[in-house]
Amino acid sequence: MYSGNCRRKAGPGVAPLTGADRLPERKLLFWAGIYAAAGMLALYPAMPFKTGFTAVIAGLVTTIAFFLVNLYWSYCGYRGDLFLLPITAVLSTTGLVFLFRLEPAYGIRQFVWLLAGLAVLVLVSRLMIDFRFLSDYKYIYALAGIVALLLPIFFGKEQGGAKSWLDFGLFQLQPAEFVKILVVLFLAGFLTENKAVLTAGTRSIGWLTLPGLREWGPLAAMWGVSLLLLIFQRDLGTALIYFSTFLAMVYTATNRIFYVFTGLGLFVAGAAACFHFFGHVRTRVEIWLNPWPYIETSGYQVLQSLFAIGSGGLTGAGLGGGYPGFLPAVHTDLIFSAICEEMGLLGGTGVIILFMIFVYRGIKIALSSRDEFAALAASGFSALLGLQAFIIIAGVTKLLPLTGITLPFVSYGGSSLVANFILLGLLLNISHEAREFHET
Amino acid sequence: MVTVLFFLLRYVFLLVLCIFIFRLVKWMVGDLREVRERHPVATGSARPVPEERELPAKTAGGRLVVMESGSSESEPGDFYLIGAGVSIGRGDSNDVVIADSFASAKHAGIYLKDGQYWLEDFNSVNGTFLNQVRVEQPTVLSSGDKIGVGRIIFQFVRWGHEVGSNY
Repeated sequence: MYSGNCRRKAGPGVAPLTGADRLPERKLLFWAGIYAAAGMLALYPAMPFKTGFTAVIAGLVTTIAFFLVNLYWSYCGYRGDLFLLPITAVLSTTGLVFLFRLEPAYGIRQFVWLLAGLAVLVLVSRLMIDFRFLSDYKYIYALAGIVALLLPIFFGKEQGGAKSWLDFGLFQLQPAEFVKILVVLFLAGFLTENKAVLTAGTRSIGWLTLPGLREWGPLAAMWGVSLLLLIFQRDLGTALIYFSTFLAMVYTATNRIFYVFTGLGLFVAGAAACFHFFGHVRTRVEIWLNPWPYIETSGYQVLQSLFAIGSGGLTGAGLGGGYPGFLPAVHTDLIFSAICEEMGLLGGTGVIILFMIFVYRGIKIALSSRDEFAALAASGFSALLGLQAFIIIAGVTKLLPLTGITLPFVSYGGSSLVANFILLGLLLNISHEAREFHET
Repeated sequence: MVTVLFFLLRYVFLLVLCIFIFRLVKWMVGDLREVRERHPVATGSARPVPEERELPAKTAGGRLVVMESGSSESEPGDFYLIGAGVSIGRGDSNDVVIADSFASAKHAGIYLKDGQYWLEDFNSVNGTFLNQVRVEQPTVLSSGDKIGVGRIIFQFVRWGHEVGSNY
């Protein structure tokens, strides 16, 4: 089935494995490379010579790095999905180009993190190729996740109203980004084991059949703990991602819409309680409903975002032609607004389409996977990534209250980037196993 | 001239994004076609098929139904289709993979010969059992037979044959 050692391609006389040479991936990466070159060259004249030169070099090295990953996988006969890496390449190139355009210092740091992310991706695809062992330690994940979330409260560093960074001197880490992956792995392991009971229920109240405390207890406890922590850390966006991913995975596992409605009910109740008890939540909701009275203060961010998106029009002002300097937190939360301003409706829709295709591939991997753990993990990872993109894009377009989370692969943020590359690696490993299973 | 070129590059960036998405979708449509050609209908390969899915009615051969599972990997009721033959064992290269420490890497095999299914033990450490009797030499299977490998017990069911009353 799989082997831990690097294997050569099938030799002469043996039928070539479909997709094992990863040709489509390479062809798509070629376009991603042209995309990077066009972006960096377009930025070049507007910059001082040295930064412009750095930007072009960064674009070139990123492209080469993605090609090297492809060539290495093709050499090893790695069978993971062929389309996820090019999608990721274009998304992270978009992020890199825009960061160089907005603030070259962030661009350079993002470039270094991107290379680190690719190295992590290769490591994950090598070392965790037999990812099934991950299902054995689900309670350790729950514990590790809680510890990782607790740490910043005591040792953390506050930035932008959220106390969720750990300072390591050389670099800072945001544990919540990595806990997302642990949450998905925990839920996948737990739901695989308790799926039957959660689906059928053990006791009935009227027409409702509910599982016993032992089955839903850990789920409720984990959810409650993470929610409390996140309220205290004031990281509302992340809480929303956790909750929606959790609901998506429970629904995937049990096929019971009842859980989704109960969850939504709980969420509405929780949101109402937060609205009453926490000042910062109330402000956010009021800004969301009507930002105009607060245009000078707290509503400034979302209104500037709307102005930026609106001024982009169909094709945008052209890369480097907009005024993203007015956007607060433009390199993280509002990067999508900057993309819309300079690439217009076409560019913004393009980014959304790329995320949709990513999720589509993820669901496809889940459907073709060998067992429930793999299927649940794959669908959980795709739901996580898709929901994160949805929540922040909905936030900057004022469909939902604006929350401070990153646009996966695009926004500035080392932890987020590396965590998303780990997620990508695990998703590819699941598809690698599924393809080997179906084709041999 | 150079200024115009750089101005155009701004939009080339957007254009290349659109081209990329176009190429991506094209490749993915090709991928879907390929899947359809490669798996036109589920054939009689040994792949666990969930119970609720309908099987093609005219599949030749038999199947192995899990009766007792020693491991969490398979559940009673899961079954594997036997086409021309299957290999059973713990190793991943087998058609029927058993995650059971009592099973050998290559444990046993079932193959079709002269219209009959034969069960053969591949010198496994803990033996293969046919109706609780250890298999010493290749033996003909009949529908309803219980095959024990490791802690798992399968029931062999042959298509078109009378199915035993205990099934």
